[in-house]
Amino acid sequence: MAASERINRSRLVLNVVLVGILCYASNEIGFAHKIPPHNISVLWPMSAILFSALLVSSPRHWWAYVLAGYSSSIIRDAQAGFPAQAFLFIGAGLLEIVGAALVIRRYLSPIKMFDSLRELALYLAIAVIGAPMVSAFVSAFAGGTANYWFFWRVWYLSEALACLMLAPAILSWITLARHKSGTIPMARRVEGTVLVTILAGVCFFAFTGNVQTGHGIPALVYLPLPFLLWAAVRFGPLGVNTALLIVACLSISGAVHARGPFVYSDETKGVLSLQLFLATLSLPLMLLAAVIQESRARAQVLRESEARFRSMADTSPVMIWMSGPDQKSEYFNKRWLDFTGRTLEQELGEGWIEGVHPDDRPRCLRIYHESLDARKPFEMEYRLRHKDGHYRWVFGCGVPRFMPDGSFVGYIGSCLDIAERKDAELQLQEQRAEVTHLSRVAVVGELSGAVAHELNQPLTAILSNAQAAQRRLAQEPIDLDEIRDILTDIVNEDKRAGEIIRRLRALLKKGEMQLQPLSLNELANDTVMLAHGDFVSRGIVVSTKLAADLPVVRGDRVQLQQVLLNLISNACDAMRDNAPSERRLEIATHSNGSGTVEVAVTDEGPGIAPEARDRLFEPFVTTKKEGLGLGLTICRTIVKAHGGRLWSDNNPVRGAAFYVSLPTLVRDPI
Amino acid sequence: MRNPIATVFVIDDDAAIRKSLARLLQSAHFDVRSFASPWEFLEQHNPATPGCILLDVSMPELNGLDLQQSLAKQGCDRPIIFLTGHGDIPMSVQAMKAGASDFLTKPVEDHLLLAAIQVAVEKDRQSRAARAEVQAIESRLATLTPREREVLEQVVSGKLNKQIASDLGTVEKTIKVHRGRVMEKMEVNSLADLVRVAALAGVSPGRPPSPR
Repeated sequence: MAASERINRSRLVLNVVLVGILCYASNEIGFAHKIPPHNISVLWPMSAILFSALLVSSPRHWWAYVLAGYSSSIIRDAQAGFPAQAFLFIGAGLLEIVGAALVIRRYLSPIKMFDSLRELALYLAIAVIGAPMVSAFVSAFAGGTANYWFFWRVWYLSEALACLMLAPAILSWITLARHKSGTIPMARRVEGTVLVTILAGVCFFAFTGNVQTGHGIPALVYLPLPFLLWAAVRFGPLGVNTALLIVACLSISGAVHARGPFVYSDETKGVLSLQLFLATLSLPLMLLAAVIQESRARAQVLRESEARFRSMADTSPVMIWMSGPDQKSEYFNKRWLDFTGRTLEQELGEGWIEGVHPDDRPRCLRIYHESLDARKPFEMEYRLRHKDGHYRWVFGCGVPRFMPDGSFVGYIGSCLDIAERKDAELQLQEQRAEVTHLSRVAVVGELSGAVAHELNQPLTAILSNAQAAQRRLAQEPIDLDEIRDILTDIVNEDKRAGEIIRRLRALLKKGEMQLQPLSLNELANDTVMLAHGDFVSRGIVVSTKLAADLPVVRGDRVQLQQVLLNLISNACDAMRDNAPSERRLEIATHSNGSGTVEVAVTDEGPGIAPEARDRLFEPFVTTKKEGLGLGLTICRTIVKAHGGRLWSDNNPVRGAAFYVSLPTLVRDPI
Repeated sequence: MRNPIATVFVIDDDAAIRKSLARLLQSAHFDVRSFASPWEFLEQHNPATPGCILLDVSMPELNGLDLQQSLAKQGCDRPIIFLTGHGDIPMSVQAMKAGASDFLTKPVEDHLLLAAIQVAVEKDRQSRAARAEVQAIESRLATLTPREREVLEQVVSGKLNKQIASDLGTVEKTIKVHRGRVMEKMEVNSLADLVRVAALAGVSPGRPPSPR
């Protein structure tokens, strides 16, 4: 790091030396431009130069700059024998320059001071009004009590003007030099040069022409004004500060050489009027330049913000749109246009509606306009035509936009292509229904052999009854009562067959839950009847122990029957390897006092192994060769949907039991 | 009502089927006795009643095939017709091998059922007749004296009277007399019949003569 330190150090030394030289030179110029006979200076350049140097350098080095800056003054004073005035002036000067520099550093940024109205005003308050005023109180003592206020005025005005007209120019140019980004185009340089040249010429003409001295200020004085405005508008604070400096130099120079409109018989009046002229010229123009600069900066920020928004909107994976307060669309991002394959012009206004699916259009328009009328956010799903001609589901939402003052400026919203999500949702729904159905079918499939057997019973009875009747009718005598009995039996058996078919169909039907009051006793009996064939073919002996006066529950008959069938089927499977006399299955119901009703399906199988306990209700886990492993999972889902519980336990002696508890139907109090 | 041809014992746990089958069989002039389970049947069954069994194979408690075995153990060879709602081949083969008279599937047409029952009833009648005949023969056999019994055994083995006389240590004439009495008691007219009857009764021919 030694190398860069050395570079910095040498640069510092250079700067300090430069400041010293400049101050020396400005002192010479300043002295040369004092207006006789009182030798009042219109503005004191050295203050401005040192002040600028302090503002743009680090306070650590200020001692060096101050020394360099005052070195020539001190030398000069030393040559004059250090009059008392000298100390006062130096002291006041230091107070003003260092004090102002400190305060400004604290509250403002020297680089951007002139670009904002507020900061410019602060600068003016501190450096042009405040600091010189305070130091004037000190230095005025040089005039003694008699001329205190005269000296005060002289000091104040010359210091103030230096900070008003010279320091800003210096600071602006230093800022430009330090923070220049990119090269300035040639056209601009040319324009600047032309402006400066013309302005100089005009000033020269206005301030150094041999005009009659007299009263009032001739109109020529206003000549520089348009060029100052030109500088302010086109070049901002930098331009205006430079232009004002040129005006100051030339007008002061003219006045010193007793030319121009500011020459009076009473030269103090002349100086005063020149100072006032310069002040009244600078202040508004600098403020104007600051205002212009601010509005330009704001416009720039706005442009950048717009550009940022556009690039963000166009690269977004989501479709974005905007509409104005009149509810007509005014912007669609690139992705929207890519999606629909249309141009912006086609979609603007109300064109976007054409892309919405005709079936969704009324609903979409209704939601859109209702929300926009109420200025509320909205969400909707609809189908939008893709450029390939097909409609895809999208999820659109919009929010209202308000200005900081609360005025409504329109809506902004986005659309997301959810075609895949919708497909997945649909598929999931279908799959779920399919799985439930499959599980039912699987259960039924296991019973199908038994069901066929079940159906055969009434069919056999019908056939034999009918054929018996046929024979009887061919024999004498015909016993009509017997025939009637036969027909009655046939009808009953047919109904019995129909009932079995109906139950089977209900079991296979995919559908929503249909809640109705149910008696679990009745359900248990029905289920036992339905599974009768299965019991028979597997040699299972079923007994039921149904509690009397069992409270009614509310449930879907088909689904609860499915649960019961599944539990029964499992119990039968569990006893597959049992001896024929040990295949007892019991279905019991009883009511718990606490508003629930319980059904228990008990078997005499091997029971549930401890390691299988936890996985009993897991999907796709099965011990059966051709099982799906979904039965108990679905059963539990169904029971839970009814607000009940399904659990299992091993019996004390042997086998397992599955318990279903369901809440009883609570009658609405009238 | 005419005299029933025979009795059909219907065993089925489904009441409606019992009733309808009974009706059908009665219309064909069979006497029908219905039972809800094999136990009931075994308790109340009278083996002397001619007829066959119509049995639903798939009842809990006792498999139809097991009943068949039980009956056989009891010495009852009443023909059984199986009736099933399943109709699977292995079960039917097993049943037939075990001696079932027929194997029918539900729902059963009347002509098929009645034909099977006719066959079974006829089988039953024949077996009864055969049993009756054997019993008669045995009772006749019991009237023979030991000597006559001996002579019978030798005669049915095909020996000549002369040989039998020398084997038994007596003369041909005596043998001829015994032989005549045996024929008489056994109520046969020819040697061939005697042989047949003896075989039916399980008389083993040609025992070597016991030494006197």
